[in-house]
Amino acid sequence: MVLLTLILIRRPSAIPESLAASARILLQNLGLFFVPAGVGVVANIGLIRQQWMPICVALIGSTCLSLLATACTVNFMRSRLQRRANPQEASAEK
Amino acid sequence: MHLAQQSMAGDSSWAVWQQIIATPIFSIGLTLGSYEFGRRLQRLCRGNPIVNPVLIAILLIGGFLHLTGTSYEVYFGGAQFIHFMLGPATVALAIPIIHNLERLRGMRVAVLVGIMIGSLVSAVSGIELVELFGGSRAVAVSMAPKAATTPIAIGVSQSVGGIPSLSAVLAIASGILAAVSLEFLLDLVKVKDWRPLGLAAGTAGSGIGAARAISLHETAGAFAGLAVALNGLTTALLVPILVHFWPK
Repeated sequence: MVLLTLILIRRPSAIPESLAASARILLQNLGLFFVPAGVGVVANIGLIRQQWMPICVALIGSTCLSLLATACTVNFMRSRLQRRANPQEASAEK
Repeated sequence: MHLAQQSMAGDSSWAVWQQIIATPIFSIGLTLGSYEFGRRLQRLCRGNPIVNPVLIAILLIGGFLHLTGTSYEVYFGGAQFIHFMLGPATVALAIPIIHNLERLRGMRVAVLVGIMIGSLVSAVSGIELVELFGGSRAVAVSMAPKAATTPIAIGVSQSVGGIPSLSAVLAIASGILAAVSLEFLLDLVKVKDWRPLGLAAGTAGSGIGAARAISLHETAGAFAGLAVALNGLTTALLVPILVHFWPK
């Protein structure tokens, strides 16, 4: 993925239609490809039942923390950088 | 006598049934059918984020395997053909990133730092919370790469002594959680821009979070795709180092 991005970044207009079309089909059904791995919950059900408490707390806590950390960092940094670059515009945009 | 005969007839048809289940075409059909059912159900519920097609398909197939006493290995033997497509599909996320590169201008540093911090917070808090609540080391290590997209989470988990199939499940579950809670949580901290929303969805929820962001807004989707890519990379580099230096 990173390689493809780096290759295409040099010539963004040169994405062949066939590549864009197959990418679209894959992405529209992205969820489907996660299903076989997700059914792995059945194989691990014993372990999950035995340690359900740490698993649930860490899963929910860590996902929410990561969501908030990313959003707040980007928001904070962007408004800081904007204010430094152009004080009037940044305050007007608010 | 009569009863014994009946149960013998039942046994042989059961054996035939077992052989049918073990064929790849059966696993593939079961997966496609369950996923399509989940999609229709979500459309019926007007796109409600809680009625997630991935979640519904997993529950249906899991229930089926449990009821028929089929092992996960038998199912996966056939379903691996669908699982294999996860790689190419992840690579395809590069296309919307290229299409939206223009919008990145002026906030490159903020985006990079935001994704790295999100990735770090996910890995550290994942390990820490499991250990705090008495989970085993194997579970803690399997939790660490869960923010990365599933193929990367599986690979990283393998390399740091985690349980790859558990990491896959945790990555998917955390994606579903992020997709469901995304709007509520960002409302809570008063972030109203599509760009941080997309980045947060892709960093914390990888592919499934990105799928939700795509359905909310085009810009959010593009930023989510970018976050999936960069977070995958960060996690693959960061988690092995983190686990190596983590006190046992």
